[in-house]
Amino acid sequence: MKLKGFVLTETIIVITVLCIIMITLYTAYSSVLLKVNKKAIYDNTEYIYKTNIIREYLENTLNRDNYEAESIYVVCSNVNSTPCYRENSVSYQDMLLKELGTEAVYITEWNSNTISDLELSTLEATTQAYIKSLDYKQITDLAYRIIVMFKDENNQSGKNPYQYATLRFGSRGKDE
Amino acid sequence: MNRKGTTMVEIIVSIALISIVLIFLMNLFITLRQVYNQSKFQADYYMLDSNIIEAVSDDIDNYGLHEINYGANNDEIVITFNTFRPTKLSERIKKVLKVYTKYNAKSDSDRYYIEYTYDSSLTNLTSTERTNSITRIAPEEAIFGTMNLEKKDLGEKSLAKITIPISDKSYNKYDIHIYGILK
Repeated sequence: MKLKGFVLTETIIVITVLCIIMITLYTAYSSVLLKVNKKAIYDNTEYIYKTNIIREYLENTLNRDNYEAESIYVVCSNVNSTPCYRENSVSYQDMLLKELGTEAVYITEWNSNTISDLELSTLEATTQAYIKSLDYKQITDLAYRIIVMFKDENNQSGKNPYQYATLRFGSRGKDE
Repeated sequence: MNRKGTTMVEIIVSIALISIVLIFLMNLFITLRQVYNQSKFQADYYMLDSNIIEAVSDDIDNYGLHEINYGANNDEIVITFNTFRPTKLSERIKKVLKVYTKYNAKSDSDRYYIEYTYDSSLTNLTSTERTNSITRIAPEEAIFGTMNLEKKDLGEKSLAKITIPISDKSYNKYDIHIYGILK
């Protein structure tokens, strides 16, 4: 009796085709998941309104010369030497930022693509990713934006613990 | 007659290969189903969250927050604004945010609703004021806790925070938070 099995070529072809299908499925699936995760942490309504409260306060207190001189002005950041609040502080700004769960506040030029990679590299990785994802309308006059990083109040997993929101800064109500 | 069939080894190898592929596919479909269920809940939640936060926060922004307190029951919060009613200048605009359950015929079960409307204690509500309210139905599997109101004294001003605790059936948190500065 002649025992005929699969030829090696047939097996390789089948495995290759299966691999291609699996890779295609995996790529499609992971890009969907990535988009969903990204959407979940960027510009939620709650955080936009919280950013608005911070913006209203900073627009009245912050000196324009401070942020005009730099392409990324760090108002405060809990991950570096200028924390957003000190425990037991009685200053209005400290208490406000603490109660709103603020982790960092930045002021940048509206067109964030003008920020160099070198400057971006000084920020934490999640903030860099957020700034790179910003979609902006071209504004002819020189404009600024406030970017606020918050603790995610609903986060239980520890994965993506931050939420971001941004608004135009310095000229309230224009082009939002 | 040549009676050639597949050998036992061939059959075993094919079943093993098919099983491996099927296991991966099953895993993928189970995860996709979970993601689908979760995103369906999330989509409904984000709609509810945005509508409620936008309505209340826009009023706070436009009218200014004067006072905020629990209503007659703990499931409602009464918000009084700095601005007076255009039709009655002695009365401030006052709105009520409340959570309640009501039978929903479409899903044939009791569902949670969030309502944001003019306070009925205001005299002679105009038709615009009466209709100027929003009612939103919560996602089907949402579980609500008791609404919470916190007021923090920040020195110059106070910060009010309303929390509407919501979770899905897997107890993932989807709380709605609304902030306002009391001026």
